[in-house]
Amino acid sequence: MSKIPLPLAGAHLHKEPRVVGIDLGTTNSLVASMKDGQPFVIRDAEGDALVPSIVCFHPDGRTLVGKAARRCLFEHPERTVYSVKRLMGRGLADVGDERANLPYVLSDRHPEVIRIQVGDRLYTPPEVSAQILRELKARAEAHLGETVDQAVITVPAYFNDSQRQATRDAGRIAGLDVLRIVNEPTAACLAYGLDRRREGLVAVYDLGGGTFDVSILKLRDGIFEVLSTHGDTRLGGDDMDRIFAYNVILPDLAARYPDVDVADAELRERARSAAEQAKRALTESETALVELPFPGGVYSRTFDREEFEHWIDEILARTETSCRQALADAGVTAVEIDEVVLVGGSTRVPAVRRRVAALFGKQPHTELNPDEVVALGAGVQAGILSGQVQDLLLLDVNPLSLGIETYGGAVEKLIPRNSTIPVSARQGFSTAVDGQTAFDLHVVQGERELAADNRSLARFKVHIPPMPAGYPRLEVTFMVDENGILAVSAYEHRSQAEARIEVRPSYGLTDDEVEEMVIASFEHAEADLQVRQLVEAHVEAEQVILATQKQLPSAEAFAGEGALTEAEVEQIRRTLAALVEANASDDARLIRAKIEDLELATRKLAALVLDRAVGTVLEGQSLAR
Amino acid sequence: MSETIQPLGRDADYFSVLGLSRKLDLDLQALEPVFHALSRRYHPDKYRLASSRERMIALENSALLNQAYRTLRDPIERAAYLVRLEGATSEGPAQNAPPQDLFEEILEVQELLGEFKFAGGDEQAALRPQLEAKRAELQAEQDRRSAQLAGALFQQWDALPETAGPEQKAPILTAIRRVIDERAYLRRVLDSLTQALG
Repeated sequence: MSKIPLPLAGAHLHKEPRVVGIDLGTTNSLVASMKDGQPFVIRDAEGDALVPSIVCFHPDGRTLVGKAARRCLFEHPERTVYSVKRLMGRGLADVGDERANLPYVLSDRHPEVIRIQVGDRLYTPPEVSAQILRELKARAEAHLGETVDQAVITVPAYFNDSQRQATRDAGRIAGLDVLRIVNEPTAACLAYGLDRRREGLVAVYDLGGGTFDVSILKLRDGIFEVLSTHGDTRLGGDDMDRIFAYNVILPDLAARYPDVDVADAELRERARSAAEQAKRALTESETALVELPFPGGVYSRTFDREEFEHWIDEILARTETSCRQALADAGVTAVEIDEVVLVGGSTRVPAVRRRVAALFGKQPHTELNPDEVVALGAGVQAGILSGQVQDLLLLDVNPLSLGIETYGGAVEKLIPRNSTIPVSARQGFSTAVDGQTAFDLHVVQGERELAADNRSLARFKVHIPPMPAGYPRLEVTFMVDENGILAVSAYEHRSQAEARIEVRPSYGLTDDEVEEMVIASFEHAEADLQVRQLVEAHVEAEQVILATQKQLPSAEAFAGEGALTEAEVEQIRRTLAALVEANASDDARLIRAKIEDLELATRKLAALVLDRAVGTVLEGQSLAR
Repeated sequence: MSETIQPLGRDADYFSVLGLSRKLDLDLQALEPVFHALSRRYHPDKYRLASSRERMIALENSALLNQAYRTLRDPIERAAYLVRLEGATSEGPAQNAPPQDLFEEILEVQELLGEFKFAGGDEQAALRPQLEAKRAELQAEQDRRSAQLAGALFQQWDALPETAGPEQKAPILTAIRRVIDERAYLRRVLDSLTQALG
């Protein structure tokens, strides 16, 4: 054995674990990685970094994600899921009247975890999100040339435990080991503070498609310490679009054209899309034209920026309230903030920028692309976890107080909000009944005094051996980890044993359910891939068949001139017929093989056609001259 | 390759976790870099690829460190913690009684608050200035107690020699405990006032 290892060209002696950072957004998602100590977003072949968070369960059997799924919004609105992030970690009751605005159907059968009904199948939000994650995983793998199965995924800072768990579940279903859940404003701050070694107080104002967060951080010595965070997980650009579309455009359309059915799903979706476009247009110009075709006509009206700003004022006011609360919790005044960072596409709206600047008394930073900054930060965090980035550390906080329900429905607060995480609390319990073998705990999140007014997290059933009433000494530890996710453990001192705990999440999937979905998703992934390959083969075959049929007369003509032999033309006809026959089958591989055969047969013809075309052009030019 | 992480121990006291002696006067500016350095050492993010046992230790150590820092950073929490640590917590009715010298004052406030809550708009407007004045007075009392704590009492404690026995410690701890309890009581009254007055 040689003493000096001989490195093979291009090989690494240690394989660095590849961890990617993912921004799983309401409207768009991105994946980022690190290279030479800098994060970068991974783009597709067309150079696009954004993957629209849209999933279409196409009637032809394919599952389309991202840009490919966009057309489905209009063509198959009831089979296309957008903004699924708004449904993560939620039950049916949470959706409430928003349900009427959704073109896709929610099943009534399972109130605690939303299920979206598409055809005869039901999908949970984590399963839908998993499709997006799978797409991002594939993109990363294609670019990096290696398997990617570890990721950091970002969530709004104000996401509660159920929403975070749902995100982690989505990762698992997509075949990703989610090493860390990171809060979006913190991630953005990481990207922002990375290269310039800033010190001081930073406020991050993050207004995305569906969620709003504000975080106050102290940067010092490479430590990003969150002092406080506040937000609203149901407030974002989507709401601006909805107000514009459903409260302004459609009523106006209805007033002008009373016979039009404004409840029509496709029309509503077009209105929403038009509103979104108009909103973007109003960022650059003072007016925007909305043109909305409907059966029998076109609605057309110009809106100006002032009216738009008036409609969204309430949304902005709500964000401002959150900002003030966060400042109060951090024990900091607006003027003490050194820098303000804007995150999220919705912060492009001029009214938003003005409001933030006014609140903090300074111009916010916008150098980093607000659409990409969170993904970049996730990439840096991935670097921290894999050891590539040594000198930075995030110290985050839990956004909501954690408590347990006590007699009478009150809440005993165990862990206050804005505590640096990881954080734990220990509580002692005993029994009230002789021989009691189970002890129930109901954990809630929120700031209200009554358990019913807070967010139910889960019910824990702690199992202990039977003992006289009051004798057990049960010590329960509530640990909120660095992801902001709760784990409960219990130790019974008399029996000196770890107590077994059954967990029933209030708004989530059990571990068994997720396991089933992981398995199912791999099975489906295989089937989905086959379906997609078949459909794509058909599409290409049809294009080639059509093109060749059009060129047959030219082939005849060339044969007449002697440029092609009869045998060559016969070969074209034969391979064309073979392809048409293959295209009627379900064998994607066969179809591809026949496409290749046909392309080989028509190669000479194609060259002739091209020569002729070029010649004509040149002739035309010389004539002109 | 860093050395293996060691558990701090579930019941390690907050002062020793942060490398501090049990003194009540604390230089917060000096404490922050210590907290940062320890965070770097214990944070789970630094152990993501380590063994699951090390990850568990990191998690527990971090939680303890964060708890220690949060508690010791606030002077009142710090004092209350010290009192508990030194075993000077006697669960007694004294904890929930109003400060003796403010007994009358607080009774008045509670009566006024009662009236205020059931009064109509005009009456409320009439009562408001009185309540605001009471609030200011009680807040001043609260601040006085904070100053007393942070001033004389802390210094007394810190002046005790290392070898001081329980007889020397007890009176100071009892005095500290009493001030903390009074503050807690006053805070509840002030909270009710804020709830009513806004």
